[in-house]
This record gives sequence, structure tokens and C-alpha cells, in this order.
Amino acid sequence: MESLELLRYEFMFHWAAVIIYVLSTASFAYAVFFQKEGKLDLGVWLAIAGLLPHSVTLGLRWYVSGHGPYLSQHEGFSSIVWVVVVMFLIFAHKVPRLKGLGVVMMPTCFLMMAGGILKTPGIERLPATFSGIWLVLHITFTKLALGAMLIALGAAIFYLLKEKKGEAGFYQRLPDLDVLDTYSYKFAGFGFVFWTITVIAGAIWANEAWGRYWGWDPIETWSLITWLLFGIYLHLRRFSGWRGSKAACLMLVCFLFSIVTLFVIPLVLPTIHSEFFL
Amino acid sequence: MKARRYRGRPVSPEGFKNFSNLAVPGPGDITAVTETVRNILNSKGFKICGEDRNEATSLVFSKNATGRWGSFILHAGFLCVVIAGLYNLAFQQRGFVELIETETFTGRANDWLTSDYGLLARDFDLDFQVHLKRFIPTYWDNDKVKSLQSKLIIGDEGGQKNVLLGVNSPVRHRGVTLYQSLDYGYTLTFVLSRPAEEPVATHFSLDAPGRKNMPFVGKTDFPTTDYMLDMKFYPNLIEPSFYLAFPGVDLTVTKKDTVLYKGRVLFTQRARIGDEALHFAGIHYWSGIAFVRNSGLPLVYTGFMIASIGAFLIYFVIPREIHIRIAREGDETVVKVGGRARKYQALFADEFEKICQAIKAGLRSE
Repeated sequence: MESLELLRYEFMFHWAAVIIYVLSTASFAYAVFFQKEGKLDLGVWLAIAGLLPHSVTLGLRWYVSGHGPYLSQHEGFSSIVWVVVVMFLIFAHKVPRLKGLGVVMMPTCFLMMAGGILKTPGIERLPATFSGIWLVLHITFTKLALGAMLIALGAAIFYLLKEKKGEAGFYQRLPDLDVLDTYSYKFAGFGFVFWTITVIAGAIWANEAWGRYWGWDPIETWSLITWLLFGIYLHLRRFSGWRGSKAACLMLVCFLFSIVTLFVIPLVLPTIHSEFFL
Repeated sequence: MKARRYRGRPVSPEGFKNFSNLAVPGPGDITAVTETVRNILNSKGFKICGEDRNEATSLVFSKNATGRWGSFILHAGFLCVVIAGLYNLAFQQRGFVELIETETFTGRANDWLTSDYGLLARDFDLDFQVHLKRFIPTYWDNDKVKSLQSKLIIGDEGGQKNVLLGVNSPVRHRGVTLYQSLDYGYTLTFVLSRPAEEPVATHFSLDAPGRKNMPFVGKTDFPTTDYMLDMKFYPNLIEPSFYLAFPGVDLTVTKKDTVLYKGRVLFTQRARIGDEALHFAGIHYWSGIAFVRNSGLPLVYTGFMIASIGAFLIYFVIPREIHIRIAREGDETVVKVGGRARKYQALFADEFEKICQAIKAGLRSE
């Protein structure tokens, strides 16, 4: 089959996945805001259904471009969303009472997928520096870090909502406050570890490619800031007894910094990352 | 095994947040109850680590005890990476050269185009020579660089060896790592002939453009003269290409803002500047190569591995303890169960509940 024809299918499956993720979002939103718990399962099933065309579109893209899905916003966002959805589904399976987190995860997912394909639909060619196991680790763990941080964010938001709304309706069926708080802490920890691996693998890759570990590129600097912030969050929780809403608010700040690092800095500052990512 | 005190604290299940008091009606055989509890906890992955049989039987079980080392190992890994960074900062020697094809770099400290030394590092002299045999760039159909490779001959007193240096494929020799830079381009050789003087040959290195319909450009003075050369070099004048086919250069020669020559000079042709002649005599690639000593890479790898193991232990191997006290109280055998996890206490509550249910069921069938 011609590459062009395969790309046409890729776009088709991509938009199919976006639409199904929109339906999943609607289902989660209906369940959470109108307190219809039954619709949570529908949201999960729609997320699974969306994952199928999404997997096909990533596979087609990989086959046609000849490289992994990480070279433009379209590929980068799409693969991030895939990882996030898979992580969310595993989490929802393990902790059914937190399926409602889909109301935070799924809109992020469909917005990223739609935004990516609208901005950079074409296929980019692999630059000379893009090879090696450290690059694969660097990219994979960035996506895992974002997935873990999204779950931590969702748990923190649910904590704050439940604390404010009390035991009314939907919030009554959420896990206890300390369980929500613990999940936020746990996934922030995962995110921190994945982020650490991202930074170290990126430094080793930079050394292999350019002969230097660290060049104070804006993304590198912001990654370090985000890493330090998550480190502070974890240490405050571990050693200074930070819990509850105070910790949840700090989690929101940490997540905001990670978003700035990953998605805002490449847009506003010239970095070696934006050269290949935008 | 003594368990009245475990890790400096008295064994007392009542002190834990997760606590359950299970009573077995009837006198019961404490030994049999102990065995039942031990079997149940063993089946759930808990190993006994403390036991004391006195007026009551005290048992301490633990699971994933190695997880306690996670934080220490993680931070030790970070420390390794930081030490590697400091080591680099102090001792790194780094030099950069632009080698022209067929040129040999002797490796002397004052021959670097640019160099960068750590705070405690001395001059960077190589004890080997590097000869650039050939430079091979390849491009994608959208003009982006696909690969850059330098065919080198490295020579020292032990002999010569051919190596292929590429982006992301550094070469190591005698403790020095050679990196292929992304800087490269064409070098044009001009020979200036002046009446009653020996001809002077000079190389001019031009930077590579981003697209093949753009020229390789460079502007520099001609050494030993007042001439300034502004060059726009096209590897193929017939159609846009990065590769040599029909090469020519748009040359402007100025002297103190006065234009002496402006025109296109084809390869092997001469540009006339009064009674002088500038002969376009050679075209080669130049390749940027960085030489680095003391990069501390093994320490970074070690730190990375140690930190990864530590992180795994911290977040996936959570230590838990179950403390049990079995005693006869009146005509009942009472089993007190307390448990704690080193982390995520709230999530441990579910697991603790299941353990208590299993013990209760086991004692009932006893």
C-alpha cells in the first residue's frame, strides 16, 4: 500500500480515536457532575474503545515514517496520550473507586491529540542525533512521567473537591480523603522517578550526541526546576508531615511547572527540543 | 528469636493504627494457633523475623524489608551523578577542531580551535594524531541532515587504525572520546599569485546551509593581505544540491570597503584582481570534531543504575510489618494483630483488612 494511502488511514483512525475520547470525556463529566456513577463504566469502556484506533494510528505512523512517534507535536502528543490512557485504564482497573479520574485525564487526552494533528500533520525526518537507547529511555520516561503526574493531579483535585463538598452524592463514593491523598503522593513519587530517569537519560544521550551532559538549554533548566520542585514536595510530605489540602495545592503547582516545562517553554524560548518537537 | 522488642520498640500490636483483636472461643491450642497464623502470613509473602514465647506468644512478620534501603540507594545514585558532574567540572579537558579532508591534527594543546578546561585541568595535549580521510554527509528528502560521518585514521606509536566517527557514535582512544560535531561544510582553497612573489594558498571554511537551494557561505580576510573575501559557494550550479557536481563560488573581494572583484568563479578558474590572480584551486569537506577527556561517564552510568534500583525499591517494594500477640485471656485465645507499612499507610489498610479476614477464617476452621 502507498505511504500516502496509509497516512490517509492514519488520519482517519486518529480522528476516530479523538471522537471516542470526546465521548469518553462526556461520559465521565456526566457521571461526576450529575452524580451518575453508572456512567463511569461507560467512560472507561469508551476509553478502551478509543485506544484501539489510537494504537492503529500510532502503528501506521511508525511504519510510514520509519521512526518512533516522537518527532513532531502530532507524534509526541499522540504517543503521550496513548501512554496516559493505558496508565489510567490500568489504574482504574486496580482502583475502581477512582475511575472518576477520567474526568481529568480524558479531556487532556483528546485536546492534546486534536491540537497535535492540527499543528503538525506532516512527517518529520529523523535528525542525525536521534538514535540510541538513551534517546528511547529519555522519550519513553517523559511520557510515563506525565501519565503518573496526571493521575497524581487527578487524585489531588478529587481530594480538594471531596474536602470542600463533604460526603455529598458522588463524593461520598470516592475513597476516603487519606486514600486520595496517598494516591496523589504515590503517583507524584512515580512521576518524580520517571522524571529523574528522563533527565539523566537525556543528559547521557546529549553527551553521546554532542559531547556534553548539560548545556543549560531552557528545557534542561526548567526540567531541573520541576525535578527540584517535585523533590521538595516529596521531602515535605516525608519529613515535614505535609498532608491534605496543603500537599494537594503544592501538587497542583508541581504539575503546572511540569506542563510549563514540557509544552510552554518549547513554544516561547528557542531550545534544541523545540527544533525537533514543533 | 526474641520479639519482645523489635527494632528498638516493644512488640505491641495495639499501638498500630491498623489493629484487630481476634478472639477464638474455647481454650484452643496456642501452638496450633501460632502455626496457623504463621502459615497464613507466609502464604501472603510475609516472613517471620521475630518470635518470643513467654506468657504470650509474640510474632513479628515482615514483607519487602529490603525496601527500607530504597531511599538510601536512590540518594547514593544521585550522589554518584553529582560527583560525576563535579569531577567533570574540575578535570574535564575539551578541545574542538575543524579538520579538512586529508588534514592531520597533531593534537598539541595550542592547535585547538576552541578549548575548554575544568577548574583543575591542565593543558590538553593528545598523545596521538588524527587524520581526516573523508567526510560523508547524507540528507533526507526535506534537506535535513540524516547522518554525518568522518572516516579517520588515528595514529600513535602503536600504529594506525581506521575508525568511523558519527553523530551519536563517539570513538574512544587512550582515554579521550572523539565526538562528531554537527558543524561541517565545504573548505575552498584559493591560491593568490602576485608578481615576483611565491603563490600563497589559503583554506576558507564555509558553513553548511539549512536548505540545498541556499549557498555555503563565509566571509573572512585573506591572511598576509588586506583583502576581505565574501563567498557564496554552490556545489552544483546546474541544480540545487548539497553534493559536488558543477561547483562555483560567487566571490566578492574588497579592500578597505573598496570592491576589487565581484563575480562568479568556477572551480579551477582564476579571478583577476589587477595584476594579481586568485586561483580557485581546491574543494574539500571540513568536519568539526570535539575531543573530550575525563567525562566521568562510567560514574554517571553507575549513578543512573544505582538511582534506578533505589527508585524501584522506594516505590514498588514497600516494607510492611505485621505484629501478632497470641495469649489466653479467660476462656478465650485472643489473637491481636497490628500492622503498618513504611509508606502509603492509607493503602495498606485494605491489605491489612484482608490479612485479618484470612486469619479469622483460618482460626475458625482450626
